[in-house]
Amino acid sequence: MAFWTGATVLGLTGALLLWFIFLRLWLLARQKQRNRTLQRWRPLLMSSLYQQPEGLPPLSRFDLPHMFELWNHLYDSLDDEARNSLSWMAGQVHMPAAVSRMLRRKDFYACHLAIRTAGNLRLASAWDALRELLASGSPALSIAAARALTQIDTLRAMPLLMHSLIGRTDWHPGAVTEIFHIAGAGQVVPNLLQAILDAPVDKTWQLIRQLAEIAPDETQLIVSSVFTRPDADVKLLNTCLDVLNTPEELEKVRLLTRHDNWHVRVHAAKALGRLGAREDGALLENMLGDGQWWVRYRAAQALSRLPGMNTGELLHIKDTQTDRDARDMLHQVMAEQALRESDLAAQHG
Amino acid sequence: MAEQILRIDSALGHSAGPVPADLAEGLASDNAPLVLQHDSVFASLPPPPPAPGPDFNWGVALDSFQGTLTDAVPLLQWFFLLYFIALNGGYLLLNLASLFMIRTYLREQDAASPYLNSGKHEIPISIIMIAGNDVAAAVARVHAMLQLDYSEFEVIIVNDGSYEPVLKALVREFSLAPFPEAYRERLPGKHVKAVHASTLYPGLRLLDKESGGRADALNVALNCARYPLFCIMDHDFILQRDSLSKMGRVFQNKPTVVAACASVGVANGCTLHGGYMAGIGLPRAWPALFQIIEDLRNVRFARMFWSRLNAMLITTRVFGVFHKETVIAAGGFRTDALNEDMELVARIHRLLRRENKHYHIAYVPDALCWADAAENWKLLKLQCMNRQVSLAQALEMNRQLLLGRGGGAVGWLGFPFIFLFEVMVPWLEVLGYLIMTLLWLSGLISFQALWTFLLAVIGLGVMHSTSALLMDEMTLRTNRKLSHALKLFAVALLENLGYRQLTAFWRVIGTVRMRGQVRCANSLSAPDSNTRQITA
Repeated sequence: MAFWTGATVLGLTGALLLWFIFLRLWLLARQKQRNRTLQRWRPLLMSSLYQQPEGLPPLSRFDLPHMFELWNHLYDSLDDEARNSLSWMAGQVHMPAAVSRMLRRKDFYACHLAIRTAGNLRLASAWDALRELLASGSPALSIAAARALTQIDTLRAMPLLMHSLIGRTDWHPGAVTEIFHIAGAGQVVPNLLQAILDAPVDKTWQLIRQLAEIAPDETQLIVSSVFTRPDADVKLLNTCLDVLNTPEELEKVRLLTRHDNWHVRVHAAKALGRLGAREDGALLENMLGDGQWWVRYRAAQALSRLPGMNTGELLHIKDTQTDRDARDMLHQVMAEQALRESDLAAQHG
Repeated sequence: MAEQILRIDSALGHSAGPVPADLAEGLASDNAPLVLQHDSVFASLPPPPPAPGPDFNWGVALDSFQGTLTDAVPLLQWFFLLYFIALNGGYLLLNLASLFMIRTYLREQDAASPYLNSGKHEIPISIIMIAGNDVAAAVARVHAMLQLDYSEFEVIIVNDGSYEPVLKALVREFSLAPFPEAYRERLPGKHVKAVHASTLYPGLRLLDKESGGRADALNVALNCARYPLFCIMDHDFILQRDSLSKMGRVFQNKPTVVAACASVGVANGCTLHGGYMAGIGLPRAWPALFQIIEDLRNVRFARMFWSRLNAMLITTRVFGVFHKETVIAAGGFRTDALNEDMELVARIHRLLRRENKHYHIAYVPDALCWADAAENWKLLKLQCMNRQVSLAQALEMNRQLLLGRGGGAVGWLGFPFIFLFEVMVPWLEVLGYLIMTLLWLSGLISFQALWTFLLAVIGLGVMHSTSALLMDEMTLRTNRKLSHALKLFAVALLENLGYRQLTAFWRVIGTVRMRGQVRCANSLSAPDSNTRQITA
């Protein structure tokens, strides 16, 4: 057995070496093919931006992925007028038919490229295939499909997108925000507001953050309703405190500075620092004695940011503190403020 | 029947032998059995020569022993052969499974990169650096850190009682001024003498503390860290500008991640630009070349598999990003651990499993961090010894995890695998070669049997090493140049003809020596003694 094990593994090692060399050669060949495709199609695509070229060469099967890559790259970096020229040229070389074929392929890269191209071409015939891909196990394929669907028909895509947004946890928030920007706030907000109402509690805070990114003013109604809920989730409260941008809810924020959970107190202190009035100074001074370091830190920062607060006054507050922790914290925050100011002065001078 | 008593002095050595006939004659007149007791009366008697018992035949015993050994020879051969097959086959299967996982990971990252590069949703990170004793290197390293491609981070340099000129150089270079930090001691640590903050670079602080070792320095830095994640930058780490964002992404994508680790590649032969990795090269020294293959073979791919099962334990140096509150809740870094990171990861598993928490320790397969590998055999020997002992210690400190109730994949798969195929490997490997050679020398197996065994064992090792190289080619493609890749292929072949056996031997030696040293250190009850450095 030992002999056969040894002989077999040495034989396999030889095969591995051959495979290794084959992989390198294949990569080399692919790189050459890519260079040839780019050399042939880049001038044609560029000239199509100014005039409609005549006598376009046929798009070969080997050119497809590299040509799509180039086309999408140009499309994403150009303005609307130039994009129309690119779309015209895509029609001339029968790209839509190739995209439909590629969408059905199992190969990840080919499929991803086809989804991108279908979206950029506004290819309505690819709707059903893209809808299927929206449910793909791969987050990259599904988010790309969501983007393409939005590009093709925003109105129809929004309910589908919201449904997926609630159900999935693997979509990157940056990608979702980008899709929302493509769709426009007018289309997104009503759908997103409805989704916030429909979503489970553990998902609501994420949707509120998304809403705040695309339409910050629209969040205030939701924030107001969350503050009145006695059983509001901590994460939800924290999110609402973060996205709050009007002083109308300040009274509720002041109440939240006494919340049992210290994370909520931290966010309430931050909100007071952003929106608070001069009379919130006393409340923040009390928070300087909190048992949690982070509450003391944010309260001290908030205090330093209150309207009309200056270094002299902060120094006075610091000296009147009987609690050593409160004094130390104010001292630290004042030093941080001084460092920031000196940094700003260095940048400007 | 009355009992006759024969007293014999113990120094004469009679207690083990039969009673001489002339002494026994006349005393045991009534055929009563003789019972030997010590007595000074017989002290003057000359010691009798030891003689075999009347019913003991050495020849028969030797024959019997040889018979048993002959019977055991096939068993021994099978045991070692199967062990080597299990070892190399096990790793090969892990690597194969990881191949698909890494490919999936890479293609997802590649496809998502346009959204991920915005940096808008990145979680802030505190970078902890321990200032070494090299002035120029410390300054250059901090400069490099400040240019990292990450949206929000702070750099905390810890001067752990190091060389005074380093502190002065850092203060001068980064315009560091005393800062009134409201220090809170969440983790115990040595006294912090002063905190400095930079007036030029916001987010750069320096903690000047009494010397307490790496773990103590990290604990003190954690007390001052402001951000939810932290990463440890060893003084010899070299990163890419986007290394931190790739690590941070894991935490963004999965909120249950409490730690993320990436392998540390071999920096020897690579080119740097501005303190960052600019081009991958190959070292000239053989020890460093062998370490590249060793890393690929046993670490880089296997970790991906264990990470998927949430059973990853650290066996070598890593570049890690941790969730600060989880580490603090786990008690921070242990000052008595030889490798704090290894021990911490095992402890996080143990404690979070015990609390039944939903957590994940992730692995980032991209090559993100490099450090110089040992280029001479003496240093390599020390590293091998150190690694072996620290791993054994980390596992021992968290032995409750092994096959424990609620141990999950890490307790039932990861831990036993690491124990069998990392901790025990050097012992069994050395023992295997030794026993097979002894059996051949004693004529119990033929030379043909010996070389067939070696062919199988070394062949398995060669296949394991070369397959790891091929997997790298199919996924990460660390070596862009064909000449580099082919050179490494040759190194993968040679690695199994001496290097692997030598490192196994060193690891055994290391365990024996360090056990002695640790026991000695413990007996001297010096809890703060820095046991990181060992001497050959």
